[in-house]
Amino acid sequence: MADEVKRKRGRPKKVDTPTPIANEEKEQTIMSANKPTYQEIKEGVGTVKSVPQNITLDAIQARWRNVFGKYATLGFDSIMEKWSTSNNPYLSNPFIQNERVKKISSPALKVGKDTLQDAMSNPLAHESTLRSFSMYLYYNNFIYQTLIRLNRDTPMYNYYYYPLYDVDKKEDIKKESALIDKALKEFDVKLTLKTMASQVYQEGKCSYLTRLSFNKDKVNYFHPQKLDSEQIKVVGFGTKQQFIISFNMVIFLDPAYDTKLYPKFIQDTWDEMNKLGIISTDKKGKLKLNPKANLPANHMLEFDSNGKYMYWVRLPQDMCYTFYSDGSHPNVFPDTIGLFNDLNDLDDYRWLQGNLLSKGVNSVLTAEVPLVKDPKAGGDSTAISPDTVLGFQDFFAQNISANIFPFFAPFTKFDLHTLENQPESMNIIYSRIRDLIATSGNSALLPITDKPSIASVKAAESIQASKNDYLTRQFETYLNHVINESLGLKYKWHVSLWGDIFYWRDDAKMMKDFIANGGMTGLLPRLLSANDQTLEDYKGAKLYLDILEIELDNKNPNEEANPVGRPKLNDNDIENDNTGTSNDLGNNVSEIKLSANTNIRYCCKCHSELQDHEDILCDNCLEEAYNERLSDT
Amino acid sequence: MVYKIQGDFNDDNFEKIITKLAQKCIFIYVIDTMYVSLKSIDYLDGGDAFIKSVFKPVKSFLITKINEKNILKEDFVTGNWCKDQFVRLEKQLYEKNEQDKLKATWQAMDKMEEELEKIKLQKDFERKEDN
Repeated sequence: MADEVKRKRGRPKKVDTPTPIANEEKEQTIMSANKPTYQEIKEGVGTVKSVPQNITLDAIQARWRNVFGKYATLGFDSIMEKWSTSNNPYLSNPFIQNERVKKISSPALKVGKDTLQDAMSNPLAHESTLRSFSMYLYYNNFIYQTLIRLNRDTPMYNYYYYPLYDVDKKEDIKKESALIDKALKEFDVKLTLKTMASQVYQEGKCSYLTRLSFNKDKVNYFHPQKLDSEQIKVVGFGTKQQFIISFNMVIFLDPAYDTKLYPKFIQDTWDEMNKLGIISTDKKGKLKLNPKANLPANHMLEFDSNGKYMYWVRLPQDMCYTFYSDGSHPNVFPDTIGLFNDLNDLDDYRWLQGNLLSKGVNSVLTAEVPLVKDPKAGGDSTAISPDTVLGFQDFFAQNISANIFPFFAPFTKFDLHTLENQPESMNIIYSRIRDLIATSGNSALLPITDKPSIASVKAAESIQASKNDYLTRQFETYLNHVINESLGLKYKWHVSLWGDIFYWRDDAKMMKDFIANGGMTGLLPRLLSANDQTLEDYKGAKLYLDILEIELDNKNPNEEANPVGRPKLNDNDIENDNTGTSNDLGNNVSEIKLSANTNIRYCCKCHSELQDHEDILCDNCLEEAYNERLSDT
Repeated sequence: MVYKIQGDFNDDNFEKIITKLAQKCIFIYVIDTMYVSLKSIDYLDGGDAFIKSVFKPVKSFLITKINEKNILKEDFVTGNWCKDQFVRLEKQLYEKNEQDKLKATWQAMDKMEEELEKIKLQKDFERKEDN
């Protein structure tokens, strides 16, 4: 911008240079009042034009003549390029756009056993195949989907934020706090991060562009834009995040794509490619790539296996973030590939079970075909021709569905062999699924047989929560980076994400105790976030109550006057199997024990404990008394 | 687009019905049968509902849509009238589609000119800066 304005004497005012990618539509400060800048002129161009009511073909032709005359200096190529992008019917075609949108994830593809084995034996060279198979399983196999969704649903993504370091000016903090609140609400933290987690666990690694726009104290939008899985490549390790990726710009030759759907960096890169002649327009107005053109730094051209061009452009770390389920390797495939063989075999088991159920093969009938009187070696000496034998065989096979079927044929030595133990076909697929879930390490969280022990469930919960925390920490770093680097804040802020479905209640309870007993009020934002509130929400809700003049009675109605004995444990707090059993049976509370003690009645004769239906005498004594009475009479 | 309505029109509301019908339709009346056609192709969406709502006060009526098959069952005069209406509306439809295409082209040219104007301005600006 400094080049565009008239220079003044003296030291220029300090102006914060805006991050160009982060805020796409941020208003730029214009330092000169006299001379209009190019930016100002450019803004004035895009005014809304009204379309005339009745347009004739002549009017269109006249306009074309005018365009060619007016913009002749720009060259025919420029006019045709702008015409092809402006008159792009593909952008409004729902079928083509639907195809484009579907490419956001790897295409689901079922592969044969051999192909899968090849891919598994050399996974580094088969990333795409493994991703595609993962998507296929996600759509088709409910167990696989459940395992993936477990990772999506475990974290709570409760969030809160606070300023760090030299915090002094109240007004600034208030303003910045409100702006961050608006930004995070616009991002819709919980929903967006859960969706992203699902995508990451499906494919192993996913890259997103940050789309953020704000004006002073208003956030227009803030959301991540996922890049097509097949169009990105991990190309390095970064300083601000683990991985750096390159993006395949050739997709913009596809008319369904448009650079306008992407951030400014992509648009500028595309314009640069046009200027350098890497992209040109042929006579028909079709875009094509010129492989002989000189490439700028960080750009790379290569062929894929189908002979198509791929044009890789390295994306800045500030703009594109890559999240991963496992950052210890740069390969883009899911962690679950170890289950692929088992999951693929599941279909075979299902087929086996289906076959056994439908045909019920448990008996075989055999017979001999009689020979002629003087059979000789070297020729067919059977008394019945092979065609007739096949005919009888088909005839038999067609009629065995009946319970008892008489079968007559000119064969000898009929013999029926029956299996003593018919296989329990119903259990085949069930057992296989059980084994599969056990292999995946989730038998405690997804119990399908006996009740697992509480200890194993607790261990599984901890492992699962810790596993998902790995991704939560990446999301936290990402949000902190965007909030601090792109919103133009004066102070340094920290956004914190926490909570999982297993232990968030414990954490909330602990914080409540800390605040109530220890006076650690600094934990209040975290405690409020457990109840889906930020400090701004709390402030608003409190003001709302004041306005409506609602006063709360501070006495807690649930509080007992003199609670006696140890309070009952919550289901989540039970860590002992015996306590769990008594909890299940319902005899772990004192009221039940008390009532049970008072209600015990004994037989007047034998002093044994009476059942519910018995009264005074037990059944045995009553029968004896009855018999005695009969014999007396 | 062209409807044949048979029914008992001896009703006090008949005048009202005709007044309302004339807002969007043209029609002829031949002994207990009314042939109705839409005035303009713009009324095509919701045309059926409009006709039904107009004839609601009539106690009993039957609506038949005239098409290329059942038009032959009509007599010479009414058949010709229906045919003329079809031709008129088809022409309107053709014109509308043509106009839509021309409008889309016009709007695309607006966009293109806007983009070209930006490039031109940038080049002019750069040239001035160089000077």
